[in-house]
Amino acid sequence: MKRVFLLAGNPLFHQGIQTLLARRCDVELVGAETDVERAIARIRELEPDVVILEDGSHEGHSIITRILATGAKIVSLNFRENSISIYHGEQRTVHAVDDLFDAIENVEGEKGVMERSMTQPEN
Amino acid sequence: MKTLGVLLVDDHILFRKGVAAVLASRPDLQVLGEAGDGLEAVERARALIPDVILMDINMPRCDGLEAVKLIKQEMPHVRIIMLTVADDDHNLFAAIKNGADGYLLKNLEPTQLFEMLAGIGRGEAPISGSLATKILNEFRQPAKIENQPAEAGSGLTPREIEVLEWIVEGKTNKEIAFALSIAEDTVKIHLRNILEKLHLHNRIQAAVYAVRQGLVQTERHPSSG
Repeated sequence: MKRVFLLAGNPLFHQGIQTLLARRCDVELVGAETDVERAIARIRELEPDVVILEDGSHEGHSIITRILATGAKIVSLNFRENSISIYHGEQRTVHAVDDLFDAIENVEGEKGVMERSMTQPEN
Repeated sequence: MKTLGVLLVDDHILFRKGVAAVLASRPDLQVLGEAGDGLEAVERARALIPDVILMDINMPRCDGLEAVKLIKQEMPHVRIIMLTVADDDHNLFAAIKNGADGYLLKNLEPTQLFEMLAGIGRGEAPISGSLATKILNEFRQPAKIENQPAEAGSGLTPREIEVLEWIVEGKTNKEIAFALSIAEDTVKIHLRNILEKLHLHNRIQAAVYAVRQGLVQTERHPSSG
């Protein structure tokens, strides 16, 4: 089971994703925040496997770097562009809700992410 | 308790599915279906005949503004609320002109969305606060006469003019009924007659039209709280 933390500033999107995650038995939502600083503190405390991040709810590169430094992987959602970004792997277009859960399930191991973050440009 | 049947229309799947999941938690709401663009919205509306449609604007194939017009032509009693990130004047007034019954921004809280949907059942017009200001500012502009109905201002009874004055002040049907000492159902009948006579779709259009045409005096009634 993947332990997941949600950081999304848009309240309706936040509750929507939270509700969708709560329906899955293979995902444990360990925390959710709308505020970046509170989220970082809780991510450090809770050590989730994956952080689901709403694209645009943060200060770009700095928050991504700070989250990656905690050891968590990031699945970034852009509901305006209908896309999922997996840092630093790939970007996909969302065709179904299951695309989100596939991304959570298949984020790379820590070693792979650390290596890629050194060599690849950010999405 | 009457359940409000809702059709969700948005091409952003995660947002749409998320809203569906949130609405499904409410006993007074039922998500009847979803659509990913304006044409699909028209087809689903015909099949499902929802009470309310939550409609995004920027969508492929057919945008929300066009879909509102198409659906209102066939099913004028279906309430359509725009739920969008777009807060520009063009989209706002185009939506109202095409018959939208409300206009909400996607940054609202879920509880606000629930309250707005409950208000639809009471005949209210849900509009995000900042957008209501834009509409009021539009009121204050000199009248721009565009596409006026043939019988501009004619045929309204004195009682209908009275009801229209209260609508201009933003009062709900229940508040108007109390003010005029009549039944709420009677207010609804007056409103329906007003809309039919003026060839309009909803109370927002009626209010804008009434002020522009000088059918009513603004700020006629002292604050009734």
